[in-house]
Amino acid sequence: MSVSSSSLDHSAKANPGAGRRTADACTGLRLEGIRKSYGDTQALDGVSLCVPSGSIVAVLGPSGSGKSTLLSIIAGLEVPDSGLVLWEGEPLEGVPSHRRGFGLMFQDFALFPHLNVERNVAFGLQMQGAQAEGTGVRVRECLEQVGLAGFERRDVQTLSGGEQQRVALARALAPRPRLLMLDEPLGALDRTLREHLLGELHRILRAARQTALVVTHDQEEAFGLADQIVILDAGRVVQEGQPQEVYHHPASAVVARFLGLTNLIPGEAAPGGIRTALGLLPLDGPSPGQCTVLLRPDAARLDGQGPLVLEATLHEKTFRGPTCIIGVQAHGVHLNFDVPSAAHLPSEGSPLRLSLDPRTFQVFP
Amino acid sequence: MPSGSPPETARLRSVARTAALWAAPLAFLALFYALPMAQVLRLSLARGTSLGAPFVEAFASPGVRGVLGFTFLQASLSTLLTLLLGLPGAYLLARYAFRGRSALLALTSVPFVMPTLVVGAAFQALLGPRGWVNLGLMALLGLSQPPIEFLNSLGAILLAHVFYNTTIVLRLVGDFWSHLDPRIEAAARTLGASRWQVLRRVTLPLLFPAIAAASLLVFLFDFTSFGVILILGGPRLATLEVEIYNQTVGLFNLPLAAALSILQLACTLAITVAYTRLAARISRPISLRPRRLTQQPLLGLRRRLAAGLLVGVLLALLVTPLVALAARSVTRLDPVRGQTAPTARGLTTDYYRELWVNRRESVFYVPPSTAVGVSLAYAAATVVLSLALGLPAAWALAYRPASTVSRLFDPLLLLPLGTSAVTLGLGFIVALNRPPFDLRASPVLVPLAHTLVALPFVVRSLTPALRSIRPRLRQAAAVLGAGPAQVVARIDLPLVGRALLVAAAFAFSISLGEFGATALIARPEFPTIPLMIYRFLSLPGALNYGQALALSTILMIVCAAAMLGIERLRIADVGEF
Repeated sequence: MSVSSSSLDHSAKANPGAGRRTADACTGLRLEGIRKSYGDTQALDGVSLCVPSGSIVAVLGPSGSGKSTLLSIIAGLEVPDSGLVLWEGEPLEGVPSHRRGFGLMFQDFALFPHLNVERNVAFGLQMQGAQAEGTGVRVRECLEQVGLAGFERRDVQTLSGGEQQRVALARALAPRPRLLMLDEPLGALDRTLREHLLGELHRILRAARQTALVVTHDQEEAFGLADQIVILDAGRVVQEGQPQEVYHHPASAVVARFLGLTNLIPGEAAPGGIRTALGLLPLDGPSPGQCTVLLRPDAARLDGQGPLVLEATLHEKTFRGPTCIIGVQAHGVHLNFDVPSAAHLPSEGSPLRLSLDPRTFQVFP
Repeated sequence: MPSGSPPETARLRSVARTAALWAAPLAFLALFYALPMAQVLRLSLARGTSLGAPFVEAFASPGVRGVLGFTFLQASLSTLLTLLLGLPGAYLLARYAFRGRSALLALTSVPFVMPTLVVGAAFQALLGPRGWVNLGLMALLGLSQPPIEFLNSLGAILLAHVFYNTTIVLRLVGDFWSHLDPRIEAAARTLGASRWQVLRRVTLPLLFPAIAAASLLVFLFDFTSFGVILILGGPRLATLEVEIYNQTVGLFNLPLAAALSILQLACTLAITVAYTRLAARISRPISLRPRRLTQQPLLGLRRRLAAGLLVGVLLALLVTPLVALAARSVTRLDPVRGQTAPTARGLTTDYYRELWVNRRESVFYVPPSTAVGVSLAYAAATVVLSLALGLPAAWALAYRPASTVSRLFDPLLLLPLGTSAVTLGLGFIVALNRPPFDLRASPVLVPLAHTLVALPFVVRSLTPALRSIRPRLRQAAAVLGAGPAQVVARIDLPLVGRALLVAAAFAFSISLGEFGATALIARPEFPTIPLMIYRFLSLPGALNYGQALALSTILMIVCAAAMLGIERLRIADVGEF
């Protein structure tokens, strides 16, 4: 039984230098080696990335990973300690925020409390010197786009969270920014509203062919919106790639855990495979010594057939519509798997034979 | 990219900016607050050869000890009564949404901006010997003497103080209460606490900082109350404040007056420091939620009845005297001396018309209309001066709240509020009477004193508005293409503009109504409206009485209009005093 090494090839591709290779081809926004520290805290530690024109890039990272700082620097609200922000190859150093032509949707929306919906949305157009007649048309168009037609005269302080989010989006879109940045666009909203607005946001950005940079800590938000994902951890880019690529081939155990892949088992390279609490797994270790093995949630089948069978105890089962999440205990290790919910499952506490496909396993140093 | 300016330069620049903002307000406070107070202190310590003789004199005198005791007694009782009425009112306004809620809130705050002389006149018009109640009872029962002895009693003082300060409890506690998450109380209920236990174990502890701050503020105002006591307390009931005035104006015993001032200052200082500490705790949100999420409609007959009763009591106490004043100022009711039947009853505008007539045709007589002009001029000067000084201070407090300078100077700005107006006046008399500051004869003295009194209010109404312009809003405007000048024009000014109007209205109405300091320093040929009211009230005769009420009514209307303007223009939901 040999394990395909394709997964290792993929993870090798997903290294921090990947952005630089495409740097010359990058037509939109390009960052080169951005560093920023506050006192002793290194918020950004040499970040390089590219947002090609017309594409949506999501920067995904846990809170405190420097995401918001990155947006402030791109917007020109903060100055980096070192590094370059370029638009179509032109460095933006010294260009103040209001001349960059970038839009930014703030996490807390930052709507102007003294202006109504219409005048909030018209603000950016008026700054461009647009005449009242022209702005009216564009404001209506943008409000229609976000589903708030008829809200023109409303006071922004009377709006619900979801409505404020839409006004903020309309306000950011109205002046047709060459780059729109969204800071945790759905972060301030509750779960059901988020799921609903995620699809809508995606549709709106696509329809406008908007070049956009989204920062978020929510992988679903990033997967749902972006063509390209950049994962930031402690101020560094740790992986970038298309959503599927990143999800299926995380570059490290940290990235995997951050993507919600939690079946991570410590192991050690041994002759014939990797020794773990589950036994000797027939895998190629990256190098001798300690390593971590990732078992994907879809790696288990219930037929009990195949090269690798795991004797486990069913700990809990959570019905999730088409699939069922089962939590099993095996050799002192707790693992979660997705199985079809139509499958017959024994009662909780009963033994369960799972067949695992080692080809889907992944090994991190 | 360049590595930016070194942190040292940035720090120096920010220190310089803070210093520039504070320079004018501090210079003003030093010259017109610290210097006069120092002179009062010097005066209180020295008489003849022995150091501190005036203090010895003060403490040796049983009269002064009595005054001190009475000052504390009436302030404590007034505070207690104010809380008794204010807390249920605060609960009602905080927790229930009902029609007329904001009107009630606005109405209840009208007394607070009423000049003390107006309040004194209003209670006289209601309960005094020539007031509605007494005249009504006399006519009804055929009495020749007013049956209710209201003036010159402790009751009159307490009633007027409750009238004045209930709005502080309604505002401070009610506002805090209305933003307190009711789910905290619901959680306590689900954990098995009874209504009473929730109140005692959860609600009151959470409200404590607000209640304590409101109590301290009420106590402070009652402690230094002057006009009300001068008019309603009569010659026998004197507080420290009245005693300082009597010693200064009546007996010209300046050293004793100075010693009493220092004594009072020490008391008020302690209260002010405690208040600032507590106020800082209120502004730290514990889990504040927007009001619309914390309020419920008034449902159920019992609740509605209770609410109706409470609103009735509040309105009766807070509005009746003012209505009585206005009505009395256009009604002729007085019996001619010695007779029980009034000469000519009915509506009249005589009292108002008389204000514009120089009946005595004397060069020394100042017609009341002069007072109106003088008061307006002083008020305008106060508005300009207090905004010019208050804006930079508020700016510094809003944008550099954590800097040592701001933390140090914030309570300093409140000091004039804690200092009695009469003491301020005394300070001006003893400090600004020689070169280079010989301002005794100058009419600028009055607006300077008014500015001192108004400055804390101006700063307190500007700071939250300036703070509410979150840096985010400016960033949002900049990202949308607004240059620095456009950010100021379209974000800063519209938001601050309303606050500026609010601050101006505060300064204006404070100046119009100020009596304590003005009573000591105003030139006799330039009397203000409150001084004129006091003059008329102390003169005999129905015409003088009527003119006092007419002037009071004018002042009342102007101040009420200013307050309602303030109400409309305020943006911040959680206010600061």
